[in-house]
Amino acid sequence: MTQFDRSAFVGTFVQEAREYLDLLNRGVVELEKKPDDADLLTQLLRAAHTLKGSSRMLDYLDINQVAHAVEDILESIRDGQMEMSAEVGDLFFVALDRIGSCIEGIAEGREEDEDVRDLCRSLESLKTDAESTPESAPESAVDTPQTAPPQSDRSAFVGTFVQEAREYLDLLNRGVVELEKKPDDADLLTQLLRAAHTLKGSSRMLDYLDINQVAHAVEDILESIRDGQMEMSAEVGDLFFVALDRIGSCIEGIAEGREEDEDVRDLCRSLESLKTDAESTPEPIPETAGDIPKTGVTAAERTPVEIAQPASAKSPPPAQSEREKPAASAAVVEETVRIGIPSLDATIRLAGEIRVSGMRLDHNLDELAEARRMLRYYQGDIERRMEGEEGEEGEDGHGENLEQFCQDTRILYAKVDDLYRKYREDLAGLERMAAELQEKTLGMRMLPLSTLFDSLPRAVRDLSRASGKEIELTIEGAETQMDKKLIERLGGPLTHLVRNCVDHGIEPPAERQMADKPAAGSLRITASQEGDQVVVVVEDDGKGIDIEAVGQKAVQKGLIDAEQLGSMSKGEIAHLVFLPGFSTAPIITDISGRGVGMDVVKSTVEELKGVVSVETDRGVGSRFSLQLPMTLTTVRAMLVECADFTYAIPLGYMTETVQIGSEEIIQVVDREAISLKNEMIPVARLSRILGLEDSAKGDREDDFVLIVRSGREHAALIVDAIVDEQDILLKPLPPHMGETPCVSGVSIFGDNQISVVLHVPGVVESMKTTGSAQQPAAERSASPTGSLILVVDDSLNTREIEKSILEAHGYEVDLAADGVEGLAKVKDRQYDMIVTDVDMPRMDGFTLVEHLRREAGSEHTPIVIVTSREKEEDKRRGIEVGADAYILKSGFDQSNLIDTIESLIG
Amino acid sequence: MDGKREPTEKTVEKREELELGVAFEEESVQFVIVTLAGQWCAFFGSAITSIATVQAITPVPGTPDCVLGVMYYQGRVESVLDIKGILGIQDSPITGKSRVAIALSGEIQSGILVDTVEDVVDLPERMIFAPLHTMASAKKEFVTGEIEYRERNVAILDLAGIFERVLAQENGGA
Repeated sequence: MTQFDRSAFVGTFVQEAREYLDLLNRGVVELEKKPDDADLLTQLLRAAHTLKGSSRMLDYLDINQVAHAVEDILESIRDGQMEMSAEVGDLFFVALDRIGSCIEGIAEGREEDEDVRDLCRSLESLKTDAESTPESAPESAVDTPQTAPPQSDRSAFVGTFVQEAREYLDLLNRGVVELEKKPDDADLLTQLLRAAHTLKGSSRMLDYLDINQVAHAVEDILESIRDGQMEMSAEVGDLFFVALDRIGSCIEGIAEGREEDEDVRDLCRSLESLKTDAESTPEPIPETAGDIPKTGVTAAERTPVEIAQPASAKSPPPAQSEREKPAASAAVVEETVRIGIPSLDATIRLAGEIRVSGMRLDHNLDELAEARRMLRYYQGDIERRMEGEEGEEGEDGHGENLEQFCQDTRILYAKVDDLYRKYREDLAGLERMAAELQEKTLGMRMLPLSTLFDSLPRAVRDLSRASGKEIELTIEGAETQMDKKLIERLGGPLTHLVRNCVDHGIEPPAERQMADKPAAGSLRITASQEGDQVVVVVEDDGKGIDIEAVGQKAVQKGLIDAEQLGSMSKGEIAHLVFLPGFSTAPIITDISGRGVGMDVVKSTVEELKGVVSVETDRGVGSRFSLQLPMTLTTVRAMLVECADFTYAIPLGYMTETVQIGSEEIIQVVDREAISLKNEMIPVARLSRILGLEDSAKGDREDDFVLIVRSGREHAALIVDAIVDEQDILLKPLPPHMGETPCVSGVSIFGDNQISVVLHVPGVVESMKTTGSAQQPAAERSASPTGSLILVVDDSLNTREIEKSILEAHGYEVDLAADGVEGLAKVKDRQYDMIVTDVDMPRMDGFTLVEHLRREAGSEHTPIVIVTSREKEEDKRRGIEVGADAYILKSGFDQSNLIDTIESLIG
Repeated sequence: MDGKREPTEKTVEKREELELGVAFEEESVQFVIVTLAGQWCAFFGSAITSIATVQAITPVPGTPDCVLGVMYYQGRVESVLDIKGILGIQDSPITGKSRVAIALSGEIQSGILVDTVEDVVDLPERMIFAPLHTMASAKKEFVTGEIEYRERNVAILDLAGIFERVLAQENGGA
């Protein structure tokens, strides 16, 4: 028997099947909330039916059977024979997951080996149990009229239908031409039959009855030819094409939003009579109104497996050999992106304009050649004159010629000037069009994040049921666009963060109520665009991360030592959850707690050239933030010069550029920093971080400094020059060069020069290990003083810098990120001194000092304010609230800080 | 003179065989003959996809010394390797005669900087000999055989082995 080559359709099938599956997953979650929503039920029925039909078409019988069973249950719910319940929902999701795994198997080129019989039986029994009168089960064999949805609600499917219908119509048109040449080609006949059948089914589904009837009649004739009851002839071919044209005009009518008004009865009668004439024993004409199986298979005879196959003596099911999918037909699906016709048209238009512009330039070249020829002539003329001047006298003649010569050169100048203007104009136009073309083609890779977020309601629903927690999911910014490739990679980390929030963050309802929180936890997922970066935030209102437990666990697991832990701020400890092998969950659950995952979230985000960060507040909730580039192909970047090479730094990581004099650089132990806007920021020469030779600074006194941001950290990079700011195309390094921490890729410029595009988070990390190495190591090692100092500052950089200075002078240091945290630490531990900033969230430094002075135990502890507030009134306030010293961050000098501390605590 | 070759015993034998019609059908192998700091080496021709003049090479931070950087060539970003260090050969400057041989072995494609490209020759398989034991040990590790060209013994370099070493260095190894 024939084997249908389905490989050409697999890609489209997988893409569509995923879409329908998403729709079903989202829809079932909705249906649980609104079981009486008739429109929703109709949508779900359509999706299940289409999935059933298209899988049958390509012989994916497992999907077909499960989709069929799902459709049956949805029908029962719609018809009031069953009620939607959590149990039904669960089984729906099991079924949808099974379909999902089949689809992914197909996408990866694997043959399906799922045994779905048990699942189908379970679904069937669910229905049987629910139905009081089993005989009332709707006849759902294939394409039954009952499944036809109301016309008002089909708009969501029209686009897909038109696209598919056009494809099948093309196939039929090409195929009938072929069939005229090879009337005995059984493979071809099978293909045409399938196309006509699908067209018939999908048009019936959307109530396009004209197409349905014509397609049905075409299918009937094709069947007769296949079964040898008719012969393919020129007359038959002609009528086929009339029929196909009619279908085509109906499709185009639908595409243009016109309702069909074609009367196809005459055409169908002609097709029918063709068949009747040919058949020696005419059989009753099949009803054209629907696609009712030609033999009466009753519901009682029907089994879940059989129902997928229309039982017809005249149109037998594909032979067994055909259903045993040959390995050769399994193909790995090529990745595709759907592009709207307007977008494609605009791209083609631009390409055309660029071509025309090229032709204009070609014309200019001709004119340029003419100008060159003239110039060459004048050059020769001048040479001849000069030779003549030497040889003969005759001023009169010479003067006349000179006048002519001047006139000619004026003409030549005008010509060249005109050419220059034209060229400049054309070039400007060409650049504009090339930029627009680039933007349009890059835009084709962009998808809304909804493609990723749409699966979350289902995932959260499953997780909440599995964990017995109530969760209100809010999604915002799903329309934010991102590169398809990035969206695909982001799925894993995002799902993991969601799981983590459900399992570790949100408390069970009883616990929440005890904490005066609503029983249902809130899980909020937001996406937004910031420059050419996308920020995705996953936050819950759960119990927050147990910082103490995280710290202890990290020490227990040997990830850090106790001393390190003591000097870490709350935020820094929270970040330990991203270390490989870290987990604080007392038990391993299905959801999370296996100690893998959060590190994978971090590493995946970093691979995508992004940054992940976490903020948490005990009892209030946690907030995970992923900062990622919008696309990996194009990026707006600052071009800088460093050690005689040009480097590109993505603007998304930059906060500002400043010029600083050498006196503004603060020496901090073995490295350097600058003070900028109430923050001390570590600074280093980019050339040193990258391991390059320093280039001569020249006469310039000031340095160009780029302030970059990586997660919560800032860093200042000294470069030799700032060259330009422009959009660059990011190209990867050759694959064997693998991951280089400081490099995102390269970009090629007009002169074929390559510039390295830096990966800022990698550069910031490398900076920590580079140091300025200007201070002798001996200065760092001071004997322990035994004094304990608390440093309170909201800037991670400033905390780190102050900490390293103090530790280098033998002090033990503890850190807090704001006044509230600082106050809490003081209550737990006795400090010998407190160093605090003023401007901080939640509680500022002045208020902290006031509190400390009222607090028993800290009323006499020396306090040093280190701030950028330079006004006298601020200094006065500092002293008034009880600070012992007031140091300015601008002009900060580590020896000044140490001297002050030593004078206060010795 | 360089271009004029004195027939060696083997090539005379080979010619005699051909003339007498006694030679059996033998596959010929193509070699790209290059020099590295004055030393003559050869790559299998099948592994060299093209030979490029040296364009601007941009260094990539964080890569090992043997990776000179990347170069734009025919629409691609090609890495450029200096394999002299791996072979234990002394350094040599880039000159007007320097070329980048674009080599492909397994999954890896990369440019290899050479001081000169001398010739591309087809030789019968039987003209390939085992490498001499007296060869410097660093280089020996990456030599699969030798051929005779213009009265010289030319080492055939093991591209796969060299790339393997480069990969090891890129991954922080030897």
